[in-house]
Amino acid sequence: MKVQDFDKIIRETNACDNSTMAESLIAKHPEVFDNREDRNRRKAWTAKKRFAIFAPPVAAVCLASILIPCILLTGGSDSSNNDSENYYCYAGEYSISFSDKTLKEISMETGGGILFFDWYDVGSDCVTSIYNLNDTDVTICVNESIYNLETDDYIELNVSPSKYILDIFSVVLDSCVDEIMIDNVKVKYSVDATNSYGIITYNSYTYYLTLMYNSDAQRLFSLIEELLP
Amino acid sequence: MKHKKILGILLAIFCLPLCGGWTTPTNADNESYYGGAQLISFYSNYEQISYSSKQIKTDIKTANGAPNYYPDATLPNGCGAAAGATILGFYDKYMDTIKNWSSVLPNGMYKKQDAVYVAQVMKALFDEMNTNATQPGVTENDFLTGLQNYTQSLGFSVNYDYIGNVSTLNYTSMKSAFSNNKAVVLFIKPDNLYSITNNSNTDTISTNYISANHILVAYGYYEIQYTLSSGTRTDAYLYVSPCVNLATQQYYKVTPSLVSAYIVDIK
Repeated sequence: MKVQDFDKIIRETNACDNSTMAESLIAKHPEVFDNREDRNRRKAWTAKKRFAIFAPPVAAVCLASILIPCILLTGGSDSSNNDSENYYCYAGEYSISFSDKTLKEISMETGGGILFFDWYDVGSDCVTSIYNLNDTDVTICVNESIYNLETDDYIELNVSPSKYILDIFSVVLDSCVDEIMIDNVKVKYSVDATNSYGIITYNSYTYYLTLMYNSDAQRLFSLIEELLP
Repeated sequence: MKHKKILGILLAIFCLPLCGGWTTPTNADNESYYGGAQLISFYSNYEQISYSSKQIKTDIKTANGAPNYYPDATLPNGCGAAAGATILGFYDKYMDTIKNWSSVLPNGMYKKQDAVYVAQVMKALFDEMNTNATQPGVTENDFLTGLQNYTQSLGFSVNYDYIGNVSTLNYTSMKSAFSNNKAVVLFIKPDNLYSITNNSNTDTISTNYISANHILVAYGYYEIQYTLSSGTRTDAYLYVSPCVNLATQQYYKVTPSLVSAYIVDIK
């Protein structure tokens, strides 16, 4: 079976599942997603011009990743699609690329509305990735992991415009059933044997925070309080 | 003449480990493993277990768990490369199996993959394992041979200890491997992976289904008993690095999907 056949099979298999998944997740977590309409029909967007930036070699090492700027990572309205729709995105529809920009820089470039942990001066091992839809290059998620050398916290923060529902977050959404209010923001959270997980929606973005190697929900709450303005 | 024949056999037995030989089941070339992110289904159904009490019966893990690396779109059907890189990342804490990079944070815990060094290792393994050469993904032998060749090129040796399939799995050897800080590679057919999250007196078990033959890296054994209103329930899992991009800690239940398991020891 050819490699490309798998993608066709997945698209056909998931064509029905996407509708069920989106409706189910939206119904269970209305406060997480902007749109409460039970619609998940994809809308054809105007194609945006794609810029591929190839980073220059650093010493003897050549960066292998294609660095793609964030296009349309806007939590609010944009002119090219209908804001009233939610979009459930499965892995076959988007690609993940490493970014040479930090989440802070991406936030600044998109108007400063995206929250981030400003640990760059006290942190290490910062890795930032962007998730782009394959057909439109629209950025649907930015992922950043960073280790705080001062506090020993290692976090992974995923931020998506709230209208996008990525498949990889469906498990987190289902498991974060406990709630707490922090600075008037509802936090849904859970812990497992290794990590703590929290979800908040702020200013039309949904944030999925993982506190790695720490199952202490109280520490998670402290970090969310730090994240919020 | 007879003595020479016996001597030859004995020499072969003792020399086989030095040559990097290992025992594989007869079906080691029958299946190919090609799992990837696009072949995961995220089910909206999940199970919530409400309990009056719970007891962890067994919790055996390697010292710091294991990393989890996953292939990007440039490595289609690349679960072999990802699993191999994950194993190298696991041992990189103790020896330089990923050159010019450390797989651990300053506190010794495994960190996420980077854009350069892990990517290079995965690409090298992808090629060394002949991924997609004759069929999608890799066979067991492709994986084992490719990882061995690459590891030897780094100046290290790798020993594989086959510990069985779903019917013959040597749990004692497997648990001992975890206790002695060794990783176990699992070759599986399509099956579920699980997330287990804890809320107030309720555990939520979520399911992700991998719809392709896939390779996992196991690093621990976990057994939990719940006291329910209807009696008790005991579940047993393996801690696994899923070698795909998943947002939560993943577990695998040993089921008929388990084709082969090997302890992987790099020195």
